[in-house]
Amino acid sequence: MTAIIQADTSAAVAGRARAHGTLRYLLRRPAFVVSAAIALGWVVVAIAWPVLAPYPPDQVHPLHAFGRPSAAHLLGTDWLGRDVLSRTLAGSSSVLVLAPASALLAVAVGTAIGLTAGYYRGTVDMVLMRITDAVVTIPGIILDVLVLASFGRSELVLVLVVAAGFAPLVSRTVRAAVLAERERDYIDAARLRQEPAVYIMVAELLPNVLPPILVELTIRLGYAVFAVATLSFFGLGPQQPSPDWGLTVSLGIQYVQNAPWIVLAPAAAIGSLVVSVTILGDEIRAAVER
Amino acid sequence: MSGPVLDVADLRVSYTSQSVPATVLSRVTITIGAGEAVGLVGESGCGKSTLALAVMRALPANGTIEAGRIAVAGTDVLALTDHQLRAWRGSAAAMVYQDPTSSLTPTLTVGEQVAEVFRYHEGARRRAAAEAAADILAQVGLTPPRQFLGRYPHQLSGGQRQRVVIAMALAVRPRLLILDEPTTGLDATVQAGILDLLESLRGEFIDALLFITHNLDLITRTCDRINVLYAGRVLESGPVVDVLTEPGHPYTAALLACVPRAQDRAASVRLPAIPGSPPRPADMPPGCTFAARCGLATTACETAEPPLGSYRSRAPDARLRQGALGLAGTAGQGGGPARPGTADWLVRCIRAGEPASASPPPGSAPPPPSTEVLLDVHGLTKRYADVIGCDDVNLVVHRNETLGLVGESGSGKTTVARAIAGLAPADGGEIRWHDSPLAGRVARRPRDVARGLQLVPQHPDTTLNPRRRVGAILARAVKRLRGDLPVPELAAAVRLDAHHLASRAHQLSGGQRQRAAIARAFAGRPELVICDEPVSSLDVSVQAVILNLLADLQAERGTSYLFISHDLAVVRYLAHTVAVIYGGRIVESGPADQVFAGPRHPYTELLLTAAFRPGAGGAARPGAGGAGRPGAGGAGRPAAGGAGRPAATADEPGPATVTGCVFAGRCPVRVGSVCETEPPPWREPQPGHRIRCHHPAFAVAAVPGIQPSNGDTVLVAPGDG
Repeated sequence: MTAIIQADTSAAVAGRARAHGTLRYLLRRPAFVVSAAIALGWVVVAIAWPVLAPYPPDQVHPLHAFGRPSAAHLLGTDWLGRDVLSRTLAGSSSVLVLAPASALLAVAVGTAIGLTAGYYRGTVDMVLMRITDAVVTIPGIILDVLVLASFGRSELVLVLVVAAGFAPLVSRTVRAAVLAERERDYIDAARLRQEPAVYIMVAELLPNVLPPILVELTIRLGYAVFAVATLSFFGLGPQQPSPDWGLTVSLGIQYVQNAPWIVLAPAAAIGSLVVSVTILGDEIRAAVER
Repeated sequence: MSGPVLDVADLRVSYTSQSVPATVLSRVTITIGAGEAVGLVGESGCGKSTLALAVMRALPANGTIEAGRIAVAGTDVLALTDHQLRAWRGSAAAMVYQDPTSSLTPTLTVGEQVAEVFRYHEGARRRAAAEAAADILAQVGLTPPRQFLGRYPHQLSGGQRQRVVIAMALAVRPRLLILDEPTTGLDATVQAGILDLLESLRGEFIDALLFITHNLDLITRTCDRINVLYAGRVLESGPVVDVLTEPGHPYTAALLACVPRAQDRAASVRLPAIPGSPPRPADMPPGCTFAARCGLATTACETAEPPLGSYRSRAPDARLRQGALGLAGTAGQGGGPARPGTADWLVRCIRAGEPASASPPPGSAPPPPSTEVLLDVHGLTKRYADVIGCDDVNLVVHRNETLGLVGESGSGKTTVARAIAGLAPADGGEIRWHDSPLAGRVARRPRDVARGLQLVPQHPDTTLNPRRRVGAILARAVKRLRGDLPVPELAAAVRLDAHHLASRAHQLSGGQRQRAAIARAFAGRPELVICDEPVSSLDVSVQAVILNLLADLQAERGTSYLFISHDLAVVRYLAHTVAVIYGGRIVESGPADQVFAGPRHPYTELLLTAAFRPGAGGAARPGAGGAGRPGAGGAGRPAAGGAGRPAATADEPGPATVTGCVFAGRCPVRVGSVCETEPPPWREPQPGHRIRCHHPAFAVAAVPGIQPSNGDTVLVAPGDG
């Protein structure tokens, strides 16, 4: 009975109660609350920017080009006289679609690889892990640029290459969790019932390695925002006249001497999103591994 | 000897979970006098460890001492400041926890860790501390100590680690030593070595001892007095011999009855299990906490909690009882100093001492084992790198038969089980099923064959998928194994209630999880169920329930078992035939009754003496007077402890020699160099009973050295005794 009461020391308290405790722990962490508020704020902006933006983001006003921040244009205007605030708000939508898509794809592929390698072990494990090792050894940004340059600059390819860069890292985490989990007795019982391998991986193992996978997802999301912004800065992401942040920074950099607000607004946006999502990932990991 | 060393009075402790306090210890009073060893027994969750942690002032953050007094050697423990507490722990009172692995730091050598105790508590210099560490290691049987000082914990066996932890606890001579399940998880022979060690340290090193265990047998070997704890209350307290022979409280009696006796066989009787489960701290009944499970309970029991009243046994002669336990020469008798408090015997029951249920419940007899061979394992061999997993293992299981596979940890039991199950195929040998060869991997076996061979795994905490409900787990098993019983009936067959089907593993107790695992194995129509230590981590009362269940299922369905265990009492109860494995090789096999009656392989002998030797520790107890039991007792213990302090190396499995007999290194009756150089021959002292040994005693059936007498035959070593 003491075992049931001593929440910290027994396996008795698990599942829902544990998830509940993790959330309560997180809500008491200022770093989590602040970064969650920032990230959530950007999600709201990405969805509701048509309502929030004071001007249409692609409304050109050549006469008002390079306008300083003013009451009419809170963050000034760019080289075509477009409202910087409106463009920054609208620019969130491309990042907040591309980055989560890349992270989700990376986690899905990485989980599949990790489950397969960890469940079969042996040769299958070795082959899969050497392939992922090979992908990891190529510096990510070079790989991405090469692929995007050869396959054309499309947003689909962008998502694919970012995901391809992250999937091996996810697969290692998942594999490690699966290797520990598959030694448990209930897996033996499933094998004695001659359950198909896919059933054991998806129905028996996957639910029990979910916590590290969710942590991976939040961490990869932070990196994905950064990667997508970087690639679009190199011009490999959304193209003009998209208000995408990375693209805007790369185009506006030539005016930074005279009209720094054109670059500063999207740069600050990238910064706030990357930092908040990264802190979010770290906080969640710390809470889960607590 | 002024006052008691430990004085716990009216202690109440509660744990707060989700801001709801629940009382886990209530009005607990325990005193330990100087030179006294007191046992604390109870099932898991009854508050044993909580009491120990409260005494050490080491309760988890959600635990509160609400009332009562704790004094150690006159010091009020509850009044100590945090700073004082740090110096007090270790010097005045020390505690040894169950798992020695987590009590030692993996990154420091044993020598550094033991020396640290001297440096911290006595301010010893580095060099002096190192020498003191060497001394204390020698005292706990790690000889020569130089050999152990430089080792890291992972380079030691479990028994050796526990010796190191005991050395650290005893380093600065605490007045009170608390041992919390110190031998749980250790093999019987290793456990016996630790108990011998404790005996030899009593008096000189150990003053007052509080020994916590769920194993009643260990209490008889180590303690003078016993306290039975149930649902946070002391139900009975008294001299060990009296309490265990003539228990006053029905709960004590019921606990004792759960352990299979020598004559109990699954074919004829079921074990008298205790119905129900202990009350939760949150909803304690107003009356006696045991009333709901008690066969003697009346309405008076349910309304008011009985006081802990003094009790006098109805048995006429105490010595007679001591004789029955083989405890002549122990506490309270002969030349030893009269220990304070040995006379009083307290029982919290209004019907104390009344006889409970009469004889064990009879069981429906299973059909006798048939001659039809179900499983035939021949020459099974498996190696992990250069370690032998198992070597040339031959086993036969007939229909309706239980084969008990006995051995210590690391002996290869589980290797054999996993190879037969097809989970980890062997490198060599053949497994035949219904007289046709069986593929090594379970995935390659025909579906109907695979369905017929199921497993009940060892660990109740990982046997069920924690994310799934029991009902879903069973439903899947029924579907895959083509079972004909619907899930609710399957659950009922293993005495699981309907509401358990909606639960996940963490909501169930260990026994309930193991019942669910048995239900899963029996979802189809298994012909053979491999039970890998299915009861080793369960309390005796729960163990009895599971053993009864296995016996019932065999009687109903005629299933065969390959029952793997290190617990000989359990194997003797359940098994028709027994195979003893050591170092990956079968050293003895035969009908259970013959193996237990003897003659026996020296290793089987060692296992048996380690498991069944009531009160053997009395022989070595200092100050108890007398030299213990003469004759048979000495000869029956051929292994460790022959000369003074037992050496740790003697009672633990060493590396197996590949050429000769695997047991030669530990064998007390080694014949000569032939044991190391030549593989021992199979001898057959009785038809069907085979022993693999060079010893000439086994060459023919009846020879000098094997003395058949009242079923307690002992193999006498040449030149011994």
